[in-house]
Amino acid sequence: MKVKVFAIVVILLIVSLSSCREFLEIDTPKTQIVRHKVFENSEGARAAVFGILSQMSMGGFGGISSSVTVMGGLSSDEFLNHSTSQNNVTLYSNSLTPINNSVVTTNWNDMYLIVYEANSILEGCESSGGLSTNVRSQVVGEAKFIRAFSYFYLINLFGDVPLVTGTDYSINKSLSRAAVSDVYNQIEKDLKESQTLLLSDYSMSGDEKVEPNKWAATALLARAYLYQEKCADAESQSTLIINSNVFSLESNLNSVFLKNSKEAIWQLMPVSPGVNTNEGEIMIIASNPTRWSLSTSVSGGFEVNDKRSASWTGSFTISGKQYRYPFKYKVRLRNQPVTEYYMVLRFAEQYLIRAEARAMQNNLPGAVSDLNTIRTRAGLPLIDATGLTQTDVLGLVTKERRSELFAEFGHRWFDLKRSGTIDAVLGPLKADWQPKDALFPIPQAEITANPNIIQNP
Amino acid sequence: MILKHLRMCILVIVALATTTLKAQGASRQEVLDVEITISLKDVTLKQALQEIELVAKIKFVYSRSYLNLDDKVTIDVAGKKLGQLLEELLTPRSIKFAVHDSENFVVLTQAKMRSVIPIDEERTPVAIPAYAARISGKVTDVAGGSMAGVNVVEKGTTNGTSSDATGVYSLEVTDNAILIFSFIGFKSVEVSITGRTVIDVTMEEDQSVLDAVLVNAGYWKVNEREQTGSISRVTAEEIQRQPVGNPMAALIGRMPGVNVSQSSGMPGAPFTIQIRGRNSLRTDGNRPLYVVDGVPFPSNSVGVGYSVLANPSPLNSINPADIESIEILKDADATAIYGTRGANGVVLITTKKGGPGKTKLDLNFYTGIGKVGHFMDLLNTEQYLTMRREAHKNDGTPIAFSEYDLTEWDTTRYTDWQKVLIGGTSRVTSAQLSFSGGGENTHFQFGTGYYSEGSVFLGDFGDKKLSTHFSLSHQSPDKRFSILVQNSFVIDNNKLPLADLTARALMLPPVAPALYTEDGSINWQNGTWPMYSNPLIFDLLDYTINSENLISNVNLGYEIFRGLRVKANVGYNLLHSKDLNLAPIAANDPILGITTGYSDHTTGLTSTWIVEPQVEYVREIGRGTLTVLAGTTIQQTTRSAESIRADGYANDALLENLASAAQLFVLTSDFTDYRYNAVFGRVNYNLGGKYFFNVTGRRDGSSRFGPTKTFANFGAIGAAWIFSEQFFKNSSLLSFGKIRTSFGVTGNDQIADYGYLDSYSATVYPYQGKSGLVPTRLANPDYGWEKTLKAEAAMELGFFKDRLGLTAAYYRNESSNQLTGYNLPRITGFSSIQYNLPATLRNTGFELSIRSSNVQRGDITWTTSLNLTIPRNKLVSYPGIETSPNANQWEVGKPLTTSKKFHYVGVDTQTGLYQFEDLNGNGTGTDSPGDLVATGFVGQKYFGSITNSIQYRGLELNFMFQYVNQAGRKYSTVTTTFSTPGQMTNQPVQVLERWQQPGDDAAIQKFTMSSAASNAYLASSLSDNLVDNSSFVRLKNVSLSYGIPERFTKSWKVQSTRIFLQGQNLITFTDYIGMDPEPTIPNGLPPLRVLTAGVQVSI
Repeated sequence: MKVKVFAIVVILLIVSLSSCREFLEIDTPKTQIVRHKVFENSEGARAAVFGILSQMSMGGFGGISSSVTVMGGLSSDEFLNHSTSQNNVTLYSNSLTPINNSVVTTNWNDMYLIVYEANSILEGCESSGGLSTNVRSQVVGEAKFIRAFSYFYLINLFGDVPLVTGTDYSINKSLSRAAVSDVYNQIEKDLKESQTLLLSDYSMSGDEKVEPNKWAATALLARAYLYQEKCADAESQSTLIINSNVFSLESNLNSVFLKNSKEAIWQLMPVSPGVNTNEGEIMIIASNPTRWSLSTSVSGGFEVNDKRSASWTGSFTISGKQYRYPFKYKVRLRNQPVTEYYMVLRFAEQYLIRAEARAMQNNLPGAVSDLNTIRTRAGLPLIDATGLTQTDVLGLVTKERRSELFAEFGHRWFDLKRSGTIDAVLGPLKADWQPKDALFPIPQAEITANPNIIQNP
Repeated sequence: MILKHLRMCILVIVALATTTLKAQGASRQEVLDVEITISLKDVTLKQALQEIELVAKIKFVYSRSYLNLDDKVTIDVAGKKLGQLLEELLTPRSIKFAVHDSENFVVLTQAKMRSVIPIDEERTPVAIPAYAARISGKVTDVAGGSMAGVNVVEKGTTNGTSSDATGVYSLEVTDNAILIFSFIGFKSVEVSITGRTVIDVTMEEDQSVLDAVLVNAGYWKVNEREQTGSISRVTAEEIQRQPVGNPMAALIGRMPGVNVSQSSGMPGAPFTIQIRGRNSLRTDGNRPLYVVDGVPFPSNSVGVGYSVLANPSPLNSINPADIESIEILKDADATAIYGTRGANGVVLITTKKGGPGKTKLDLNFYTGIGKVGHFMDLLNTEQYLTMRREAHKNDGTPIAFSEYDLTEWDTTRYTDWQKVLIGGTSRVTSAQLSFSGGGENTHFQFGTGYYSEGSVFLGDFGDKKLSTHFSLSHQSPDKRFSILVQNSFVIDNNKLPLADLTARALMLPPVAPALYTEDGSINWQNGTWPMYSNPLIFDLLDYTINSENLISNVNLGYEIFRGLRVKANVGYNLLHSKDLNLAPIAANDPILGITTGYSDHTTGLTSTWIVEPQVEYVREIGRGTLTVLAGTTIQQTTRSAESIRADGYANDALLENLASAAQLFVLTSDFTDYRYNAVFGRVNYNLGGKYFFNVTGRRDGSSRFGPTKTFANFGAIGAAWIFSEQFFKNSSLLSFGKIRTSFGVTGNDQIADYGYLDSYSATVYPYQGKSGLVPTRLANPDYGWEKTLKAEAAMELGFFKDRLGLTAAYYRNESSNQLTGYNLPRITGFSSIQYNLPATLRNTGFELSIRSSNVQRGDITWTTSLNLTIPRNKLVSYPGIETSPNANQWEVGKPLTTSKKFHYVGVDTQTGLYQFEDLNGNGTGTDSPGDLVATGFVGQKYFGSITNSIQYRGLELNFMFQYVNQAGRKYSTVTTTFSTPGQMTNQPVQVLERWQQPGDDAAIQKFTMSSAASNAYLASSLSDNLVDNSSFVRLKNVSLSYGIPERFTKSWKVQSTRIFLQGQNLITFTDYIGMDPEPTIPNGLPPLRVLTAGVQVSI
């Protein structure tokens, strides 16, 4: 059978492209934006800061289970470990090696990512002409603060660290470690600039205390001075805050960690869906503990009638066994109304900084007065400075810091190191304690990738 | 050179043709009735036949040694019937012709088969024997069609004839003679006359004969005999013998130089395929290019899901039953035409097409079971408790309350967790239907299939696949115009546990609590389940991947004038996947008081379109044939992926409904655009069927590279010489001999898109309600193409009339300008940057394949094929490696698989802990880099397979052994499952060989929970102690089938019926301790042992 088919029209090659090169030029993906465009306007520049803050809130500065708080708590005498995970075991037993702890590695990586991001903002703002002076000051001031904040934790965890102040990988990839003092110089420089660039209120963030301002820079600067034993500077910076009339101590201890509390200098806003603070979710024990609980040296270290013991610690009993846990943040479950923000810098610490700075300068009554401000709020009897030596007062400061700042940002771990008492305190508690354990080892991947990095002893 | 200019972009050709179409049912006579017009002067008969082939679209089949085609002829005919022309041309030369059924073959034979001895020997006087009987009969093929031109020879003599156009032959023979029936492309048949005078013979096609196999080389097809490049092939027949759901699984062990391994036994698991070794330092830069019916197919998954299959295999959405063949292109000659994408080889998947002949309906059904082939020997309760108590004794520590196995749990319990969690039976069912047929000019094939595979896990999981495939081809009766339309669509629904339960099965202490309480609810055991929850929650945490895959393409061809043909391939592929991860409230221990659930909704979409217009010109030049092909490729691939977390569900039943969520967060929103443009060409010259030259080239432009490095050139030359045509023409030993070689350069563009772009992306979570921006990457605007120089030399031999065939190849690939994600210290903000490393990596190897027809007698045939690959990989140079990020990873002169590790020296007889050599003498053996030393050989020394196929009447047995000699990773370090023996996890029984007291010389360190021991354990996993011999021999595939004789099935009105048994991964011989010697993803389920039974019916 034959069928006639008329006119088979076939378009064989349909290619009409004026130029192939043009075809290959693809647009920036819809989900990304080229760097110079980010800093063309204030929304973009501000978004770059929000990007870092969002990451901080989700990362090691945000109270998650691999946070600075947890690393400090396990390494020092604050926490009892109940977990069998390698990360928790090695931190708790102070047996970190360059290869055996991914939490330490993650924190190193994240802190340097934050440094890179801050540097990128600084470079982006420098070359941009589209930003108003106000926005530029705000963005640059926050970036410098964030960079200083990240370096503060890097040197206190790892000792000497490479000082990266630009984004050029070809320079950065082979940097050696800079001395702690050099890094502190950079921290001081950045924070002083932040002080002049940033506002002294929270109007930029809608009166929420979720972006660092001038007082955040001042608070961190006071702490940086104290850690370097630049006591007069530390005292003057903390005095600036105490006299600012912007902050006050919350009389109700249960209100301290609420969002935008009177005591908050800087808080991180929770960003994880449905969660109040990560800290509340992971610290509060509601079944057989799988992570950690408060050690008896913390829970038993409170003076009788210390209201902080009742308000800031909780307990859970299962199978006849009682566990205590930090209860500064009180919301554990997800999908509750958000009432708590994660406290990074708070007013009470400034009294303790000033107390210590004053004691170091032998202003013992001044120091005791600051301690008493904190003790009053905790419902404790006032201390009489009469007859106390400098050592006595410094001892009281340490004790007060411990009761006030436990399970917060590794304060205890750093205090033990600063005071030189770490071997005496942890030696008897930890089976394999060695003085070198005071510094975390640099992650091996870092040394592998950059032969100029020399490991801690 | 054609490739110089890419400016041939405007090319619109509209061809308008009016023609007459013949619909169906071309008979043999019709072939001879085709009217042809041809004019030739003073050419050899051979050349004349070649011209006629082109004009009449037929193919002459003849034996070169039997016919003399050197006569000069002159032809000048217009509109003459082919039959008449051939009559005039051939009959005076004593050459008979007959049309054969398939592919328009016209068979030429000598009219008087006085002798089957080649012409030269004819002069030798031959004693004429006394003939005793006249034998006659008919020769038919399997389908019952008569076969013309079959040589019939009395064995051991020169006495012979050939069958006529109706297949009938007649020959006088001596007493007790044996007749040999032979025909090109068919298996020879020997029959003893034993008193008979009528002998009818049925001949079977012989796929193994070189001439008969057309190999797909991508842009062209090549006769296997004439190919200049290295191409391996797996056919539908081999795929069909294996009960597999993913076409990649069918390739394992079947091709030399191709290393395929399955990453896990879970349905949909990804496969790693490495063709001639690892060419790129990047671990993710070694995937081949997949092309399905001319359309590039994604090599990695499209979604961004969180499933345990981090990267589900996209090839899972191709139905193996729809595949006609899979060709793997390996050397420069075969791959350079793919330019930048050819460095790691090309996998061409061709789907089934219809053929001429009766309309045929094929049904294939099988069902069976899959199980884990081998469990590890783990500690029982008594041994486990011994270990735990001894650890406490060694450490001198009291039992902590949180050591629930010793404090809270019932220590008399024993559960074999492997049996409970991964000891189930997976049901495999496949039902395939195919309908095909067509006439001379129009062919169609339609297939539809269903495949389902269960899981061995505790819980209700499995993969279901529904597929359709359609192919329609048509050519105009004058054969000038042709069109092929192909379409496949696969829907896949894969329900998986959120985590591979294998890890839990291995590590859960044998005393761990019961899964259920007495009332049948989940046993939460006061929240004491170690580290993980009750494994039953994985049955509640639903993870489903739904994917749809559409591949559609059209091939058009038109012959403008004789020899010049324009073609176009237009294709489209859409791969869509939707992952749904449900985390219901019920999956939480009630003690936690969690009152809300959440779900993750992930969508991935990859779409590719490709247009490839081509021009092909064929012409006789001198004594040879010149074929020139030129074309251009325009391709765009866009990928997008979105993932949304929906949180705050108060009711588990609503988890799939986004509208019921309290909050929605966009976790990922990705988009990439990849554009690719190229011109390519091929020049092939076939000189007298003896010498073959092939030159290919491509100029590529890709959007993955920055503006200064967009374009690059690639090319190759290949040559082959069939020396047996020249030197061994009459050898009874060597029937075929060919050497071939190729050299060229290919590229690799498997890098992330936009690597040159300094950009910011949005953070997952907004801050203060506003989206945050963070840098996406470190950008390098200036990186260029990675290039691989490939060279190959190969020899192909056939002995004893090709009954024994051997192919041996040596290859040498050198990859330089390594486009790596250059590892950076994290102080730079990121871990890597796109970067061209001046390192050179060399892969050399030897490949051997042998096939042999061992027995070919009457009812029995037995064939064996063997392949062997000996691969070598070496980092040849890496200037500045000492100061590079790879300084402590690789060593120049060693393979990439050999990395630097601590040097393990055994268990300290005093402390009972693992010890390492203190190379830098500072008191400890675990300083990096001071104590690092390159390990001994790790990797594959050789691998291959042996396949045997035995047929006896309707019974066919086919089995394949796969063998791999390799040094791999020890069981204890492959996974993160096992930790220091002594802790609260189960262990293999081998740990009982531990150190117990000072002076013990043991293989395993003491039972302990101390941190020093756990550091020693960790160091040991980073030491050369991790290397273990993981060689194995595996009975990979067995297929036994029986074709039920027609006399039984005639009444059912079916053409043929086969029943079969098939098995996969049946037996493994290995010394390896661990579930499977093949490297799977960490803690992964090994590939399953599958046994199926089925039936195949053709109507």
